[in-house]
Amino acid sequence: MATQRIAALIVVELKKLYRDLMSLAVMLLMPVGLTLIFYLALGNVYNDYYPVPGMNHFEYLLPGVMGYSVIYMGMMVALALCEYRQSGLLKRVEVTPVSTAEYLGSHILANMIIAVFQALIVLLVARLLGFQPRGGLVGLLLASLFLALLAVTAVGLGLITAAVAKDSGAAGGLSVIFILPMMMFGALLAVFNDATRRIAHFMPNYYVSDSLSIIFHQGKVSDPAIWHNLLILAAISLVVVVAGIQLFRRSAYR
Amino acid sequence: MATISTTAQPITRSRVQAAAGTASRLFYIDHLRVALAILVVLHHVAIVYGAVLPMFYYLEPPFAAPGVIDPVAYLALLVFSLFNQGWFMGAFFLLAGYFVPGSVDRKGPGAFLKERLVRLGIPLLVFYFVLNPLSWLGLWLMPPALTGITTPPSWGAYTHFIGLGPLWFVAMLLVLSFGYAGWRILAGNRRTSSVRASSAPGYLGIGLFVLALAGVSFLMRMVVPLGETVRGFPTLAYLPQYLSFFVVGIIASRRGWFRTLPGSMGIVGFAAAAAAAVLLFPLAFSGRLFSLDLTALTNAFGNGHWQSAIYALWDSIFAVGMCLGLITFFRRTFNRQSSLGSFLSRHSYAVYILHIPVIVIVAYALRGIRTAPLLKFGLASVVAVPASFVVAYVVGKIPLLSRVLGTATRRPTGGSGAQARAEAARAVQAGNQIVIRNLTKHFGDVQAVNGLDLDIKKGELFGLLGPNGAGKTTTISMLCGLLEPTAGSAYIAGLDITQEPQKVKELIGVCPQDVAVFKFLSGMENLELFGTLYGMDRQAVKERAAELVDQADFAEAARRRTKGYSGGMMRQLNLMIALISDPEIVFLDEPTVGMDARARRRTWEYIGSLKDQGKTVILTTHYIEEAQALSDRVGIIDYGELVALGSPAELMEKHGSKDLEEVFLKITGRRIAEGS
Repeated sequence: MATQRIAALIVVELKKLYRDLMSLAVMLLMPVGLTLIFYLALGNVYNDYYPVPGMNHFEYLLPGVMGYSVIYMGMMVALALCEYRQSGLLKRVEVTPVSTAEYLGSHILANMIIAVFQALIVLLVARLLGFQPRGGLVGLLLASLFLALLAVTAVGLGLITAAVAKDSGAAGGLSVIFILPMMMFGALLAVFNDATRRIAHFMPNYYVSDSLSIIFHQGKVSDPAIWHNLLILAAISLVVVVAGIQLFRRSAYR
Repeated sequence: MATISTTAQPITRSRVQAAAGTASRLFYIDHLRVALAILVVLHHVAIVYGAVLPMFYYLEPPFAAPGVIDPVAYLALLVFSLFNQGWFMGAFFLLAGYFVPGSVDRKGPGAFLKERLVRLGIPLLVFYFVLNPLSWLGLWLMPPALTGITTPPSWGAYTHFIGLGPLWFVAMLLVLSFGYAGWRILAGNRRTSSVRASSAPGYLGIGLFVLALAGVSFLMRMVVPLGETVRGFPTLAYLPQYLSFFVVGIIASRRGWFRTLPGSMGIVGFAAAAAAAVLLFPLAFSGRLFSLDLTALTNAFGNGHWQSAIYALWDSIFAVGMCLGLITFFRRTFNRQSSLGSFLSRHSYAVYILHIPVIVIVAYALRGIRTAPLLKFGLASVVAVPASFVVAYVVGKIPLLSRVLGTATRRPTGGSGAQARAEAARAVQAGNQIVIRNLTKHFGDVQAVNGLDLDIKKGELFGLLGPNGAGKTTTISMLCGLLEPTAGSAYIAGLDITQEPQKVKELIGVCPQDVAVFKFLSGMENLELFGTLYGMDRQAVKERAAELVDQADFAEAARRRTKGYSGGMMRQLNLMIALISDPEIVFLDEPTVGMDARARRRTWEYIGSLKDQGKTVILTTHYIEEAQALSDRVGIIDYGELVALGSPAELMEKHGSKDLEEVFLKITGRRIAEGS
C-alpha cells in the first residue's frame, strides 16, 4: 500500500516537471546551458594542477558542474514545498493515511531520479563536446550513486529552506545561501589554493566533485578515497535530510 | 467553562479528569533528557579525540600526549568536555529528582524501590560485569608499548576491568532513590502535605543558592579535587551539585516550578551562563581575564586555591543558568510529542547505558581515516549518536530488556487513560462515533481549545459554530491528526486519535476551508491521486471518481486541468476529494464560503444527502442559516470552550430566540462587544 502511495506521489512530481514549463526548462536547459557555457569559456584553458595531464579546465570542472546541477534541486524542492504549503496541499495530504515519511520519501526519491537524470545530461553533452569519461559502466553507476546521495542532501537543504522561508519568494532568496558557496567551493570553481580547498571540504558536493574526478578523469573506480568520500557524503546526507525533515515537519502545517 | 453533558450517560468534566488523569506528560522534559543523553555520547566521543584522559576505553592513534598533535583541537574538545561536565550531569539529577515524588505517590515506596531496582539495578550489574570489561577489550587492539599489556585477555584482566564506567550516575541515582523512599517511609508516606504549589523562586533565592553551591563545591574540592576518581566515581567533586539538584528537582516537582518558571528567567539564565563562561572560566584557569591558557589545570581543580573558588562559582552559575534556560526553552519550543521525539525519548536511557561500547566500536572502525581531530570528532559523532539509538532500539526489542530499559511504546497525552478508554468505549457503544474528552490545545500561552468534552452520534450532522479564532479549526485539526493535543483525548469510531492516527485517517474525509488541489493535474487526476493516497486500488478509484463527477455533473470539467477552473468549480472539486474514499466521517470546514447563492443551495442539498447515506458529518460554518438548515445538533464554541450545545430548536427555545443567529449573537455577544 505504501509503495502504491509513494509511486503515485512520485508520478505527480514527475508530471509537474513536464507540465510546468518553468520546471521543465530548469531541468533540461539548465544542465545543457551550463555545460555549453563552461565549454565555451574554459574549453581552451589549461593549468598545471590537473589530476590528468593534458586535460582542459572545462574537463577539470566537469565533475563539479555535474554536482552543481544536482544542488539546484534543493531550491526547486524549497519552492515547491512552500507553494504546496501556501496552497494548503500539504495539510490536505497530511489528513490522508499517507505518513510524513511516505510523503517526504516520495519527494526524495523523485528528486533523486531527476537529479541523476540532470547530471547525466551534463555528462552526455560533455561527451558530445569531446570529453572522454573513464571508469566504464561501474564508474557510471558509482557516479550515479554519488549524485543520488547528493540529491538527498539537496532535498534536505530544500526542506530546511522551506521550513525557514515564509513563502516561495523568500525560499528562492534563501536558497542562494547554500547554493553559492557550494558552487564556488564544492564545485571547485573558486578552489585555487590550500585555504579554499579547506573550505571546500565543508561542502557536501566537494566529495562528489572529488570522487567523480577520480572516476571519470583517472578511471580508478576502486580507489579508497572514493569510499572515504562516500562515507562522508552519506553521513552529511543523513544529517541534513533528518534535520530537514524535522524542521519542515514543524513548519509544514503552519 | 460550564460542563455540558452530551450523551445519554452524562459525563462530567471532573469524572473524565479523574479517569484520565489530569497530569499530562511533560514532553519537553522527555526531549530535554534526550538532548542530555546525546550530549553524554558527544562528551565521550570528545574524550576519545581530544585525549583529555590519559587512558579511555579507546585511544586514537598516534597516541601522543594531549595537545601535542593538534593544540587547537585539544583546546576545543577540552573546553567542550569541561563545559559539559560543569552542568549536564547535574541537570540529569535535577530531572531525575523531579519525577521521583510522583512515582512514589503513584506506586508507594515499596513498589517504587522494586521498580528502581529493576530499572537501575539490572543495567548497573550488566554494565559493571559485562559491558565495561567488553569495552576495555579495545586495549588489546592498541600497541603493547602504549598499554603495557603483553598477555592475552585473562580472568585477571577481567577482574581488573569490571567497573561502573558512566553508570556511576545510575548507581548514585539508585542510592538517592533509596534515600528518598526511606525518608517517605519514615515520614509515614504522607504526600508531604506541608509543601504546596507555589510560584518559582525569585532571582534572590536562586542567587543565594548559587553562592551556597559554589561555597560547598569549593570546600568539597579541597577534599576531592576535580579529575580525581574515587571508587569508580569520576566526578565526585561535583557531589554537592548532584545532591542539591536532585533535592531541588523534588521540591520543583511538588511546587510545580517547571510549569511556573517565567520565560524571562530562562533568558537571564542563559545570559548568566554565557557571562560566567566568558569571564570566570578563563579566570579560573589562567588567573587572568580573557585568557584561555589551559595548560595549568591544577589550581582550578581544587586544593583550596583561589582559582578553585572561581571555578566553583563558574560551574555553579553555569549549571543553574543552563538548567533555567533549557527548561524554559524546551517548555516553549518542544512541549509536544512527535513520533521521532517519542522514539528518542523511549530509548535515551538505553543509549546512556549502551553508548560506551558503541563509541569504542565506531572509533575503532574509523581509525583508518586520517583527518583533523575536530573533523574526526564530527564524523564519529555523526555515526556514534544514531548508532547508539539503533543499538538501543535493537536491544530494547528484547521483551524483558524492554521493560528494564523502558523502551516500550508509551501512551501519549491524557495520562494513564485505561479508565478513560473504557469510558470512551462505552460512549462508542452508545452510538457515538466521535468522543472527545477534555481536549486541550495550547499554542505557547494561548489556549486555543480548552478542555472540550463532546460526543457526536453516528449518522449525525453536527454543526460547529463560533466566531473567528474561537477554536473550531483547531478542534477539527486535532481530530484529523494535523495537530497534536496538548492534553485530553479523542476517539473516532473507537480509535484513539493520538494512538492510531493512520487508522483514523482511513475513516475520515476532510474538506478544508481553502481549496487545496494540484493545479497542474486535471480534476479527475486529482480525484484519482487522493483515492490512491487513501489506499484504494486503481479500479475502485476510477469507479468512485466517475460516480462523484456524475453526481455533481462535473464530467466534462474533470477532464481539464484545474488551473482554468472557476472558484465554484474548485470548491466542488475540493468537496469531491474529501469524499473520494467514501469515508464514514466527513469534516467540512466552511465548504460553501465564497459560493454564490445557487451553488451554495446545491451544496447544501449535497451535504444533506451525505447524512442520508449514513455518514457522520461535522460542519463548521460562518453561515448560521446553513447550520440551522442542515444540522441535527449545533455546538457553539468560543474562547476554545463549548458554550452551547443542542438541536437548533432546543437552543432557540432555551434562549428565547427566533432563529439560531440570534442565539449565536446572544452567546458570543461578549466577544462582539469587545470588538473582536
